[in-house]
Amino acid sequence: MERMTVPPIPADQLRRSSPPAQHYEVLKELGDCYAALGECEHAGYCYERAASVAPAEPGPYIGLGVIHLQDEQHDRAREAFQIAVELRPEDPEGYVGLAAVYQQTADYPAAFDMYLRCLERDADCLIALLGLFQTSSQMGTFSQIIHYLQVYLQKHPDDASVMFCLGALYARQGQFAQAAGALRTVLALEPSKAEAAEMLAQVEHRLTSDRTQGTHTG
Amino acid sequence: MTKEPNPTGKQHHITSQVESGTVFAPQILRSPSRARGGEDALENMSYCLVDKEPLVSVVLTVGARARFLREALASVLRQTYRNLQIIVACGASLDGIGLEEHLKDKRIVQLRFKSAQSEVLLLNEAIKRAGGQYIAYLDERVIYYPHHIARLLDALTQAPDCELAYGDLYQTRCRRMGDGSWGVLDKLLVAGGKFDRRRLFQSDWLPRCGMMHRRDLLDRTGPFPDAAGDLLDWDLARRLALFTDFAHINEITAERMCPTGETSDASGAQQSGEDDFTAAVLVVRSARPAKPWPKMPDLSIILISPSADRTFQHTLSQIYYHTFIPYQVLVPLPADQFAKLPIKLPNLLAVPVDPDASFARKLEAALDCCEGDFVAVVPAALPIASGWVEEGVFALVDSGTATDGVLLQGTDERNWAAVLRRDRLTAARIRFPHLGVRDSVVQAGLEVSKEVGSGQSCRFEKLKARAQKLQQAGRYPEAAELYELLSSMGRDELSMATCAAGALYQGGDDERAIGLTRRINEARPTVETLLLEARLHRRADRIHDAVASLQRAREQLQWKG
Repeated sequence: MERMTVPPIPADQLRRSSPPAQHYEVLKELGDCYAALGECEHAGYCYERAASVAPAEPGPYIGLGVIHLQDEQHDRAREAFQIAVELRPEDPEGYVGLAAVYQQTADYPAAFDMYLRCLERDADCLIALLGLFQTSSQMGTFSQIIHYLQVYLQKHPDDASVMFCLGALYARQGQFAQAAGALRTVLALEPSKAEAAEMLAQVEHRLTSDRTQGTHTG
Repeated sequence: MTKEPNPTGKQHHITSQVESGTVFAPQILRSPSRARGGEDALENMSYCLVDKEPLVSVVLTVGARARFLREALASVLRQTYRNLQIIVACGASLDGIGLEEHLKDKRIVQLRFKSAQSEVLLLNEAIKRAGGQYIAYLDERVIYYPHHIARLLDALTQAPDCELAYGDLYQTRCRRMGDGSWGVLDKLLVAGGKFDRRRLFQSDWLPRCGMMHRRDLLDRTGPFPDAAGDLLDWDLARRLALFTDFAHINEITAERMCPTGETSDASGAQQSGEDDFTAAVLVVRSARPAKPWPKMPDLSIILISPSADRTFQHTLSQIYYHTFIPYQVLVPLPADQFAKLPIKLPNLLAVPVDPDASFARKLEAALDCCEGDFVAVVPAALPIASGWVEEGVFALVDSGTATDGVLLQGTDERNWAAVLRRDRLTAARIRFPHLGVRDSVVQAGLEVSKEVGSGQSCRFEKLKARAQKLQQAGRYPEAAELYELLSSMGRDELSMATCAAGALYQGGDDERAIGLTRRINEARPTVETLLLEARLHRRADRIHDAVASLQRAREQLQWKG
C-alpha cells in the first residue's frame, strides 16, 4: 500500500448536512468486512478508495489505522488515526486508536491522555475505560480512572467486568470498604466469578485486621 | 423544407432520411458527417429496407451543459437494438469536443441551429424529423444501459394495449476526482414502480428519458408547450396518459448524471423561482389535448357565484392550486364580470348568463357548454383543499356506473356541492327544471354518496407521510407495518417495501428485514437495497454474504460513461 496523504476536500464535502455518499458507505463496509475476515490488503484498498470518494469522512482512516496496528506498523497507524482526529475532532474513535498505538509502543502517559480524551467525548467507551485501566496499572497511578469508572457504572450498573476493575482499584488504593462493596456487587451479578470472591476474601480480611488494630479505611 | 411526421412507418422514414441528408430548413445547418448527402441517405435506405424490426427514433437534445454528451451519445450507439435513427438536436457547434468518431455513425441525423435554442424547440423540431415507429428520449446528461431500447421494445410487444413503456432510472450524483475523471457518489432511484395514472397526474415522477412510445401518440398529444418550463417531462407524461396505458419494466435501464452542486430539472426549477414553477405547474395541469381521451374521464368544474367578487376569485385560485386531474372550469357569469377574472388559462371558460339568473339557471347554462364526463357543482363559498374533487371523481370511476354522484367535502345546507355524472345531472335538470339543483337530483332519484375521502390515491400519500413521521419518531415497527401495507397496495411496491425493510433494520427486526430485502433484491436490486442486505448479513456475522452483496452494489456504482 502507498503511503497515505490526505486528499484535498471538495467544498461540498465539508458540509455535513447530508449523509455520506452510497459509494463511500459501500467501500467502507467492504473494508470492514475484509478486515473482519483478516484480508487486510483488500480491506486497505477499500478504505483508501472510500477515503478518495469521501475525503471528509474519518471512517476509512480508522479502518486503516486498525489494520496497521494489527500489523504493528505503528507509525502508519498513528498517521491514519491522526488524520481521523483532524477530520472529526469531536469523534472518540480516533483517540482510542492513537491511545492503542501509544500503549503498544509503551508510551503510557500519551496513551493515558488519549484514552482520557476519548472518554471526555464518550463516557461509555468500554475499550477506552479498559485501556485506561491497563495504562494506569502500567504507570501505577489510579486517581483519575476511578472517576471515569464511576461515571460509566452509573449508566451500566450491571457491568460486572468494569465493577470488578473498580473494586480492584479501590483495594489497590487502600479503600477497602468501597472495594468490598464493589466486589459484593460483582458477585451478586456473577456469583461464579472466582477472582472476585478471592479478592473479596482478601479485602474482608484486611478490613477485619484494620478494625482489630483500630484503624479506619475507606 | 421540413416534412411532417408520418406515423405509419418505414417508408416515411426512408424518405425522411433522404431529405434530411439533402435539404434542410434555412435555419438548420447540415451536419459535416452528412455532407455526402444522398450517398449516406442511400446507405441508410438499404439498411432500413433489409431490417424487419421497427425503427426507433432516439431524440437527443443538447443544452448548455453538454459535459456528458459524449457518454450519452456513446450509450445510444452501444444499444443492442440496432435499428435506430438518432436525432441529435443542438443549438451549438459539436466540433472539437471529441465527438467526431461518434458522429460518423450513419444512423445519426444532426439538427444544428446557429444559436442556442430552447429545449422545447429542439424537441419539437427533432420530432418533426423522427421517422421511427417509436420515439425514445435522452439529453446530454443521460446514459442508456445497453439493453435500454431492447427491453422497452420487448415490453411494448408483450403488452399490446400499452403504447408506451418505461424503465426505472438512477439519478447518479458524481463529482470530478483528483485525476480529472468522474467519480460516482450515489445512484438513487428516481423513477420506480408500477404505472399509476392517478399518481402521474398528481406528481412529476416519470422522466421522459426512461420512456419509449409510439410516434403516432404525439399526433394526439400535440407538440411540447413553450410555457411548461422545467416540467416538460411531466407535461408529456400527463398528455400521453390520456391516451394509453404505460408498460413498466422492473429494471433500471438508464441513469441521469447530476454533478455535485447542480440540481436537476424540477427540483432545481422549484428552488430557482417559485413563481415560475407555479406558473409551469398551472400550464401543465391546465393542458387539454384534443379529445377523446380513452384512458381518463374529463371533469367540468362549474363554479357558481352571483359575481366575480373576492370570494369567487379566491375559490377559483384555490381550484387551480389544488386540482391535479385534467379538468375544465366553467364560470357562468354576467358578461360584464368577465374582465374581473383573475386567471387566463385555456381550460377556463366564461359562460355568459343573465345577471338575474338563479343558481340552477347558471348551472344549466354551463352544462350546455361543458365537455366533462363528470361535473362538479361548486358554489363560490365552498372551501377547497388538497384532493377536494379527486376523491369524489375516483370514487365514481371505481364504482363503475353504480353511483351517480358523490358529495364534496365542505358541502352543507347552504352550499350544496357534489360531483356527478354529467348525463345524469343533465337528465335530472331536464325533468325537474323548476326545482333547485339539489332537489332536482333528489327527485330524479340519483344516488349521491356521502362517502368522501376514501380515494386510494390521496390515501396513499397520507399513509406514506404518516409512515415517514413514525420512522422519524423512532417508532420503527409501526412504520414498517405501514410501509408494508403501502407496498401491498400495489403502487410503488418495491420502493415501499424498501422503506419497510429499512424501518425493520432500524428497529432491529433483522429476521423480517433480511427476508424482505432478499425478495426486493431478487426483483430489482438497487445500491440502497444491496447495501441494506449487506449490513443485515454483517450484523448476523455472515461476513462472506455481506461481501457478496457489497460487491454487487459496487458493480452497480461503476461509472457507466
